[in-house]
Amino acid sequence: MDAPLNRPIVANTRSRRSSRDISERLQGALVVGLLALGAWQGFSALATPAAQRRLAQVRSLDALLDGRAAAAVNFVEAHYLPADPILRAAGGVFRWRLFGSGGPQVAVGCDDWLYLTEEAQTVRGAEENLAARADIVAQVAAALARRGIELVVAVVPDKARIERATLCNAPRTAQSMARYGIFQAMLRERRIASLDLARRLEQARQEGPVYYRTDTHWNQRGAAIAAKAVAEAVTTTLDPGFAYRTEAAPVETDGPGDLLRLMSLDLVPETLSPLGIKLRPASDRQFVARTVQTEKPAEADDLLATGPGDQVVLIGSSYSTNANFQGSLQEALRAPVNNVAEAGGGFSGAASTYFGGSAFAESPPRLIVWEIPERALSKPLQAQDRALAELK
Amino acid sequence: MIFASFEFLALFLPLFFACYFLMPFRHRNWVILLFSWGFYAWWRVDFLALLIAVTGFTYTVARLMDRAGPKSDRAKLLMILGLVGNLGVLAYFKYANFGVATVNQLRGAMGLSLMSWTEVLLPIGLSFYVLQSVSYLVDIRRGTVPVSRSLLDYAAYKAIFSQLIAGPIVRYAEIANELKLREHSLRQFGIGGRTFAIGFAMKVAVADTLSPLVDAAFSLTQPTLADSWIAALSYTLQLYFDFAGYSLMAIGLARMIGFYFPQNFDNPYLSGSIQEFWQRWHMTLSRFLRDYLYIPLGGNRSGPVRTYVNLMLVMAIGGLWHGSSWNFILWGVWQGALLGTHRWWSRRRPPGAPTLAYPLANALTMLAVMIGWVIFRAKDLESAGHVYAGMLGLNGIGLSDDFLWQITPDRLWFIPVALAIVYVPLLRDRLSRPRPAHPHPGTPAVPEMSGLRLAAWTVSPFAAFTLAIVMLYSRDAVPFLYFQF
Repeated sequence: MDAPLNRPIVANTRSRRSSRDISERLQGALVVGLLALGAWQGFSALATPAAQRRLAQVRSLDALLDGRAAAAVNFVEAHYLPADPILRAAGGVFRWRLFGSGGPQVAVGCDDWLYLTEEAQTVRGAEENLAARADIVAQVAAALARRGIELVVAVVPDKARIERATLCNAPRTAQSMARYGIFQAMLRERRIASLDLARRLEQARQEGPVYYRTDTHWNQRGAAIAAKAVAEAVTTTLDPGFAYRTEAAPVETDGPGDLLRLMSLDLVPETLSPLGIKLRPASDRQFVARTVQTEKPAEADDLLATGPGDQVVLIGSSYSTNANFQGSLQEALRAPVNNVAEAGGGFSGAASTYFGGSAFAESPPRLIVWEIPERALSKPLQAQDRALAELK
Repeated sequence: MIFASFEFLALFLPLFFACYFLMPFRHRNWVILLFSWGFYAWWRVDFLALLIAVTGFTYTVARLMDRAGPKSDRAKLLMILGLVGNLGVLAYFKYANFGVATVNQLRGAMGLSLMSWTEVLLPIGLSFYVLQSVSYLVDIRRGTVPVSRSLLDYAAYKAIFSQLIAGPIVRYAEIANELKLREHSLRQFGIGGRTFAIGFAMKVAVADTLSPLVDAAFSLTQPTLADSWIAALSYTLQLYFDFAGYSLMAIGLARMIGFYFPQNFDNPYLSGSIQEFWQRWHMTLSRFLRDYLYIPLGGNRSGPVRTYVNLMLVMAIGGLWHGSSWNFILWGVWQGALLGTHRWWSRRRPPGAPTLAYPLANALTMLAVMIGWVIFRAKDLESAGHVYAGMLGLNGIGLSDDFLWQITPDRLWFIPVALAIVYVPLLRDRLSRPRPAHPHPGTPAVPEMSGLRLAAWTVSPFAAFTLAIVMLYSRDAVPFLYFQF
């Protein structure tokens, strides 16, 4: 073991220092390069039209002193870098490939099935919130009944409830599993007509998916089944003479995939050619459905006739604006549907807007379909939710 | 402005370095000062006025002490004035809210009316730059540092943006010469950049990934055994990677412009005792507490009882320095009790008696440290109680639903990744020598490299930095934990 001591220590040290020196100088050059790259990104972001518009609002001494100018620059740098799409996509690919993670908003199941984490969220006071919302629905139903308007409540079950076979390691909590059943029971106690969409969709699930794999919402098949269930629950007789037919586009295209967007993977190619490395879950494929009117009563075109949207109004969330739900509902009801749903409106967004607007006051419908996403039911109540209970 | 943000990386830093290196040397301290003040004012412009006031006040007092002769009685009075002024500012901004709240609790309990009070905001970095002032004035009195005769140099020392907000607590004596003359070279720039890149990756890739897990776990009201231990372990790792990462970034940035800042962390989680832990954790604070509090109180020179009292007092004050709440005071008391117990045990053990095997000693040390971090992190004593109850299994064993839904695979995976990074230096040292001094993460002590290894050594910090940039961009920035202190 004496051999190492025979080595020329001084020469070795010199060579070592030399290699380290070179490396450290290279690192210095690399840092200069990175700073130049950073400066190009940072100043380019400031020059974008969107950034200029934002910064124009804070070009004052007051904005500088109260921190608004700094906040605006921070925002610009966090959102408008030229490398923004690349950085976001790289972050998403890294998280998904290395850890099988969809980030904070998306839970990854098996076979490329994705779920919204929010569906599993637990909330303090969830049961009280459910009861309060059931009371609000009951009050709205009573107010509408006094005006002779029928209300059909359609609670859209969580995707994780229906498509649970592919959940695998994605979380599902006791609170979220119980939520749908508890709310339905609460509506029954309050004698509200609410159809059991979960049962219908679960039955349909045996023959194929009813939700998109990479999107939060029901797919076209699920939407059509739900629309049929809604139509069967309606007791009001609507004006006859309307008929609709749903057609499928001749070419298959990618489905919506909002969960891929939440994973920052929406702009990423499915595979890295030519290596064939998969970079993200595969997109859903579909023949886009479109519903067209095939018949209408002759008087529908009369100048003074009630408008075609006046019989049925659909209030709801993004489930009502996706997957041709409105078209399927029109076909199932054989009536035109005025869709006032708001994407992201949750429990009360669309309802508040519609009930507070002039259309409801001036030409009330005969039927209102209120689509509510299950996951919105247990969240803490907002002022907008409570305000609905005051509908007269 | 925080280091882990694009306004800092893509605007401030390139602009600063361009101005700095284009300026002749004699004006470079001006560049440091003006950019550092701009950096500070980015949060709140009015807080900059306080920094300038503290700087001007301390500089003036120090000059007057020097004129009176540092050892004179007049200098002593001036030093006391300087300390009262600096610590008074700290007391007002940091402890007035806590003091009034405590008095009101007592008054409420006695049925008296409550004092009215408007909440005072703590200026960021105040705790750090006040300690710098204290060390400067005391060192001048002791005659261990020459007074600064240039207001520009002194103001630049106080303001250097890389250490202004959260340390390391650099003493004037440590960089007095470099303020006059320092070396700039591509090599220094590279070493600094490399150190910054490593710190950045520690903070953004590891600490910030664990952050949501910690926040979720510490907000549970009935955490189970599994929840609580994951909470304690992930916070233990988050705090280290966050603060040590920040310190490395500060040290690296300083090195890029020719300053040698003191090391702040030396693999503290490899310690075999609580005493060793405090020699390796936030070393510039430990050093401050030792030199300006423990030793002036008599240290270990006034008998065993007084030594234990001093240890307890110093650590309790150290705890209080971190924040104005009972959590921090109790955390300090816990550290003091641990150091006292360790001292008592070491003295009691006969010379030559076998010591605990290192793995057991390290495990016990880390257990004590983790127990301390729980109260350090919890927002109040009640929340800390929830986690302690969970750690004892009083709320069940397995993961709770409230926690489960917030765990994502990447967050969970970073716990073993962080643990591996913590223990890698130990493995490396064990393979080469029995138990050497641990190398600083920024300057590895294994210099013999060639070929691929050298290439990997050159590129790997920047690969980690790039990865961290990607991770930073795909989520919101998380503030540095030590900014709140």
